[in-house]
Amino acid sequence: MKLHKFYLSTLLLFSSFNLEAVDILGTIYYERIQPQHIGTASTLNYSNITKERAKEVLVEAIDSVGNQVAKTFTDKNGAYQLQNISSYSNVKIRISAKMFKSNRWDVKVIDNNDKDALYVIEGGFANTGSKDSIRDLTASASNKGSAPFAILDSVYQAMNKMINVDSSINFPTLKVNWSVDNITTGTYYDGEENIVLQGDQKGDSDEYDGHIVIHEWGHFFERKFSRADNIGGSHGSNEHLDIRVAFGEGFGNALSAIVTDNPLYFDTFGNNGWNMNIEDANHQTPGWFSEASIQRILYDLYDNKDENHDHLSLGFKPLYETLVGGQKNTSAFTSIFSFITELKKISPSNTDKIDKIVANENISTIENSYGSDRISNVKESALPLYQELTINQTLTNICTVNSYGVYNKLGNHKYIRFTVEQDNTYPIFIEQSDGRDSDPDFILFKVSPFEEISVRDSDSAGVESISLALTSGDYLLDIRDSSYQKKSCFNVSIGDVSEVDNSNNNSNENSNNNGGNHTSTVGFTLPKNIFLAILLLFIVLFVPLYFIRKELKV
Amino acid sequence: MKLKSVLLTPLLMIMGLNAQPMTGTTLGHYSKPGAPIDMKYVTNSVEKNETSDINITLIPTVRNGTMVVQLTLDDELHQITSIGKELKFEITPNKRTYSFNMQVSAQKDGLYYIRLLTRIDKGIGSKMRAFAVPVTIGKGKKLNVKPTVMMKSHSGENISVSRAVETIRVVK
Repeated sequence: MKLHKFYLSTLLLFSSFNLEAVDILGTIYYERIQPQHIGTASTLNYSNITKERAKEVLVEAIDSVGNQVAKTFTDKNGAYQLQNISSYSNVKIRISAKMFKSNRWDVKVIDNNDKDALYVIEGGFANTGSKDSIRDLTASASNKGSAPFAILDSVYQAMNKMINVDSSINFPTLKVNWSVDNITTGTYYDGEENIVLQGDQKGDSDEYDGHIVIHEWGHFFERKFSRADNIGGSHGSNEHLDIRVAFGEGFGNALSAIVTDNPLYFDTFGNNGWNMNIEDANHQTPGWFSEASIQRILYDLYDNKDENHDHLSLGFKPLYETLVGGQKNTSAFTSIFSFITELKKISPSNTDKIDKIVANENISTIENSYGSDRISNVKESALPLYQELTINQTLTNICTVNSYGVYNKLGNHKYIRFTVEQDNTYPIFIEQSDGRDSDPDFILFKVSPFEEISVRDSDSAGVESISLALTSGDYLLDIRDSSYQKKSCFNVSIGDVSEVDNSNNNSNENSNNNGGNHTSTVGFTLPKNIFLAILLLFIVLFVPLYFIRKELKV
Repeated sequence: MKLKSVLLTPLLMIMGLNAQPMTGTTLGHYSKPGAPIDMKYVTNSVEKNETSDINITLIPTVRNGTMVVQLTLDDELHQITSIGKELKFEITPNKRTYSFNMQVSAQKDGLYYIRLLTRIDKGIGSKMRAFAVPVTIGKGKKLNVKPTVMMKSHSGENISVSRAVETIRVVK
C-alpha cells in the first residue's frame, strides 16, 4: 500500500510539473528584399526576397491580457527559447526591433512619425498545451514588418565588426528612426543618439540598403568613439570637399564595405538607384579632398586583395585603434592627414606600403596631421590648408573661395593654428581686406582635449570679432565666409591689436563657453583714443543722471 | 465686367490671404552620399481645388555638368502647368541656383508630395539624390495608411505592431 502511494504521488508530482511549465522555442526570421545591380544602376528586386535570421532581438511571450509571461533574446542564429510558461495557457509571441545587452548595446528601431513607437511583430494567440512547442516567426516584407529588422541586422553587423577587434566595447544607446512617413527627412545621423532613415515607399527608402545604414552608423561610431569634425552638407565622390567632410564621408562609405566585406555600395530608390565600387571605381578626381579617395585608401588598407599599389592587408584592428586613439586626440582637424599620420605611428613597419596606397590617390607622402607640403594640384587659395598665427600679430590675405562649390567644399573654410602661452583675455578680430561684401564667421576650438570654445556667426558685413578668455594651449580657428563670395580675403589677428572693433559684438552673439576656463568677455571696451574714452564715459555716466533728475523734478 | 472685377478681387484677395507659404531646404543638413545637389522650395497651402504655386530651386554644389531631374507627383495631385517629367539644366560656373515653377491642385484635402530624383551627368558618376516637396491641401492630413497597429506594451511603451508569418509545432 505504501509503495503504491509512493508511486502515485511521484507520478502526480511529475504530471503536475508538466502541467505547470512548458518551453516555447524557435527561430525568428525577417524577409530582406535583395538589390539588383546592372552596371551602375541598383534597384530593389522584389522577386528576390531572402529569409534572414533576426539576431539578438527581444522575444516575449504575451498572455491574453497583455502581460509579459516570459522574455529572452534571440542568439546570433535567430534562435530563442522562452522557458517556464504555464501549460494550457494562451500566449502569443512578440518580437521587438530592439537589441539590449547590459554593457554591450542598446539599439531600437522606432517610428519617429508615430509617438516613437517601437516596431514589433506578433504571432497569434495559441495554447501552449502540455508539451514544449516550436514557434517560428517571420517578419514579412509585404506588410513592412521586416524593414525594422533589416535595419537592425545592419547595425548588428557593424557592432559585431567592432566587437571582433575590441571585446570590451560598450555601445551607447542608439535609436534608429524609420518610418514610411519619412519622406522629406533625408537620411542622416543627428550627432547624438539618433539615426534617421528615409522610408518613402514611392521614392527614397533605405531600410534594405545595408551600406547606407552602416554608413550612418559609422558617423555614430565616429562621434561616440573617435572624433568627427565633419561639418555635413551634401557631398559626392568626385568633388573637392573640405578635408573634414571628405574623411568623414569616405570613412562611412569604407566602413560599409568593410563591415559587409562587399565593396559594392548601393542606394536604391525602389525601381531606381545607383551604386559605386568602393575599391575599383574610376579615379576621376583623386586627392586628399576626395571622399572617393579616402574610401579607397581605407578599404585598401583593410582588405586582403593585392594590387599594384596595394600589398598591405592590415585588417580592421589597426584602423580601429587609430580611430579610437590617435585620430580622436589629434591636434589637427580629422582628415586623411591625421588618420594616416596616426596609423603610421601604430604600424611603423608598414609605412612604405601605406605611402604607396596613399600615393595611388595622387596624394604625396603624408608627413604630419596638417597636410603640410602638399603639391598644388588644386585651385588658387586652397593651399596651404593650415596657416600659423602668432598672438599679437596680424595674419594677412587669408582667402576663402567657392571655386569648387559652397558650404562644405575645399576652399570654403580656412584653418588657422595658434598657441596661447599665457592665460588671458584675447580679442579675436577678422576683417575683410578686399571689400565689405563677405560675412566672415568662425568657430574656435581648443585642441587638447579637443573642444569647441566659441562660435561667432553674426551677420556683420566684412567683419567678425569677439574677446575671449583663453587658457594656455593650442587652438584651431575655422574661418568661413557665410555669404560664399567667389573669393574673400581677410586679415586675422588675435591679441592686443588696436583695430578691434567691438561694435559688432552685439549682433547675433553665439558664444559657447565649454567649462569654466573660457569666459567670454564680449562687451564694452574703452577706445584707445583718450578723448573718445572720456567722451564715452561722460555720456554713460551723466546722460542717465540727467534723465533721473528730470524724472524726480516731475 | 467692372462688377465682375469688383466681386472677384476681394474673393481672390481672401483666397490669397488663406494661402500659407511653406518653405523648406536641405542646405546645410547632413546627408547621405549622393548627387551633390541641395534643394529649397516654397509652396502655398491652399484649399481643395485651389491652385498651389510651387517654386523649387536646385542648388548643385559642383560647377559643371548636366543636372537631370525626374519629376513625379502623387496620383491625386494634378499638375496645372505643363512641364515635362524630366528636366535638364546645364550647370555653369557662374550660376549657383536653378529654379522652376509649377502649379498643382487636388480635389481632396491631404498632404501630397512632388518627388524629384536628381543626378548630375558628365563626370560626377552615377549618383542620385531624391527630394520630396510637400504640398498641403486643406487640412493636409497624411494619406498613408500604415500597415501597423499602434498599441501600448505591458510596460507602457508605444509599440507599432505588424502581423508575423508564424508556424507552430509541438516538440515530440
